[in-house]
Amino acid sequence: MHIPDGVLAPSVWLPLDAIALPAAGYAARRARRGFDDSRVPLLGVMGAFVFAAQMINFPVAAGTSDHLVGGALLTVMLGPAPASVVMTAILAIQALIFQDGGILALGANVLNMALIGVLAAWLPYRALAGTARRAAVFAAGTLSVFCAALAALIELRLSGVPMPQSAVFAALGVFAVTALIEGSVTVAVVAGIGRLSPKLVENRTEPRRRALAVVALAALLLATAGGLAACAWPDGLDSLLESTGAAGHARTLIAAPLADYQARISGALWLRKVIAGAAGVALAAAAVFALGRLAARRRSA
Amino acid sequence: MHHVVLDTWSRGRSPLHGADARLKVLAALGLLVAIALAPDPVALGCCAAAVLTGIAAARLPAAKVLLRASYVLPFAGTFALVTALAGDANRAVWLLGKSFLSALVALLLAGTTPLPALLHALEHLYVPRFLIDVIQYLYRYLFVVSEQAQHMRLAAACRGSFGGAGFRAAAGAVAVLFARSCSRAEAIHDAMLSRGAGAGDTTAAPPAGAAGAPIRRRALAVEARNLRYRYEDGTLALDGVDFELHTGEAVAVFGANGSGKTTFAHHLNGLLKGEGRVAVCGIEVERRNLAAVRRKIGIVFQDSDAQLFMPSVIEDVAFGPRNLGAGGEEAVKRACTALRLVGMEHAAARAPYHLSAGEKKRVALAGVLAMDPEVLVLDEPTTFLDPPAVRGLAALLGSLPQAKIIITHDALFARTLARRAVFFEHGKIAADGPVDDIIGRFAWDPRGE
Repeated sequence: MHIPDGVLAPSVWLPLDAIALPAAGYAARRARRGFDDSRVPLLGVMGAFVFAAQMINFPVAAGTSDHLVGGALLTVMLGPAPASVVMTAILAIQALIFQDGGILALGANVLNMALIGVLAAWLPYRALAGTARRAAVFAAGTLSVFCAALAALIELRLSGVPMPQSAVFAALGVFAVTALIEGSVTVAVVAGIGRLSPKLVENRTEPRRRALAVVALAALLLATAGGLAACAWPDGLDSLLESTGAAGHARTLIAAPLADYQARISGALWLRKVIAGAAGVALAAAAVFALGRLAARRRSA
Repeated sequence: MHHVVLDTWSRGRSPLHGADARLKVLAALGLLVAIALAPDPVALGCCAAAVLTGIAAARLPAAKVLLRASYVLPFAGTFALVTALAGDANRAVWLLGKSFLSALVALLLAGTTPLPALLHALEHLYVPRFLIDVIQYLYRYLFVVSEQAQHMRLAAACRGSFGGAGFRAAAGAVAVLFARSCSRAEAIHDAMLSRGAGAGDTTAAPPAGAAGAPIRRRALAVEARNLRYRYEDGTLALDGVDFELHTGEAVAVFGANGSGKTTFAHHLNGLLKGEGRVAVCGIEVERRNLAAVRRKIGIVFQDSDAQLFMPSVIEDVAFGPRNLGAGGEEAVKRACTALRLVGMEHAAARAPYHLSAGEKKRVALAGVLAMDPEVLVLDEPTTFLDPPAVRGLAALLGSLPQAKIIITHDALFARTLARRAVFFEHGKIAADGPVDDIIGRFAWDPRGE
């Protein structure tokens, strides 16, 4: 799951660093606000546990192995913002001290496991915890790993690592098994901790936000499924667009704002890709942010 | 363990080790970017030459560094293999080379910069303080969890091991490990707070009496009025405690297990906050005064292992002075003085967990003395100590001028050090008087006299 340096293309890791690292900083500030110092030991021990869990590799399918990620466990125990911070800290220690995951690729790894992984755990947990707690924890564990792995796959594909359809399907199979194992382990560990120290895993969800959580989860799944489709059938989307006649319009729409800039920038191809990539991510982030604000305003109105 | 090896490497001596950590971080980032963007083998070769020169200049063991960096190859190898299978063998080799070289750069940075310096540099490079704190705690607690896991493994081995246990039993064991690690982590966190960590800006801590805590003439060393505290599970641990301690006085605190002695001690430096009021040297124990209070009062915990949390004795003893705002050299100087006072200066460079129980207790005491407190609280100081160590500790404590609160079950030890004693019963002070009277009244002498 940890992407080393040297594998991702600069046009992929640079925008991801530019987006994910400030986002992790924002999570840190948010987690700090109202953080009760007496929770520091819990936070540290949870982090150390997840760190240790990530070192335990288990066999998944013929010749391949994977490890626990722990994003869902952190999210259920600590809440989303502290979970993101702890996961970022884990990834930073692994990159800096253990050379597990690259330093330049830290943004990509943080995005996959500390942001997408935590969000994909938090949303189903928040939506389901009120009614079916065990299922909520299982869904959190499973979706967290699956979405994080898909994001990694998409980043690798965008970096030009060749992925024939058979490889994508094999990878999907491995991810699915890993995700199910992660879901089961998360349920078992949360239940075990709940038996010993019930107050540590008390339900802190707010049911009134369930609808928003479901919508956001659906959006997240759609986005990753879309990315997956682009990976598995890189030409399929193009031909679909061609056949419907949408490709021409789409190309003009996408190319128009940047065409002029592209003409002016006589730099390397990767630089143009970086700018286009960063602009795309910024636009997507702005859209998600605006939707979130809109939803929040409606709810409070 | 890998990080222990790195820890040893990073404390070496070379121009690279001595360079500013911020510069090293920026140089490493620059080198990584250069490797990532290298367009041809010549450029990559230049990067490789720079990295190898760095490893040679840092006098790191080259063979071990190369072996360690090769751990990245299986991961990068997967992607290289896919690329090779797709018919692009050149690109596969290129990808492997870049990954390996990048890992070498990361290793060079970690091998020449101790983690605290690295984190300090990151803080200067605008990484949020909270994230740095979490990294520090996490790194510390990794040792806690592995230590607890080791204890459980030994205990399980003595009783026939976990072999054959199912998934549920394994998950249960993980949960027990978690609960034990949490409780140990809480003890360590308390010890860190007691020595000035997280008490706000200690360099600007108010002097005694400032910030709304007026000094009275001849202030008592400790004063507690009507102190009450109830734990979350409903247990009433303190039920109206009134207590006074004069400057330079030593008092023994007796009482059965669970009578509230330790809970009382944790109120004196604000680790716990109940109803009623506590003042130390005239300063109210309140959130805004915690930094000032923790300068005045030092707690030596019952379990020395919880108190010693840094990698070496000298770093551990210097932890408190650093939190009080002392610079690196000043903190080490104060730590050396404190270690000399307790007769442990020879162990400065050793790891705390390699010391004997008596030595650990002395180092824990040095850690508190380095903060130059006016009041010492010792919670069961003789636990785990053999009789000669107890005698040595008594002589040492007797020579210290501070006011002392000695929580103990050891009547003989208490008699040596204190003239006065208080007796805790069900969260209240049931008696206060000369130590011999209290011991006689509650039959607190092990010989039953």
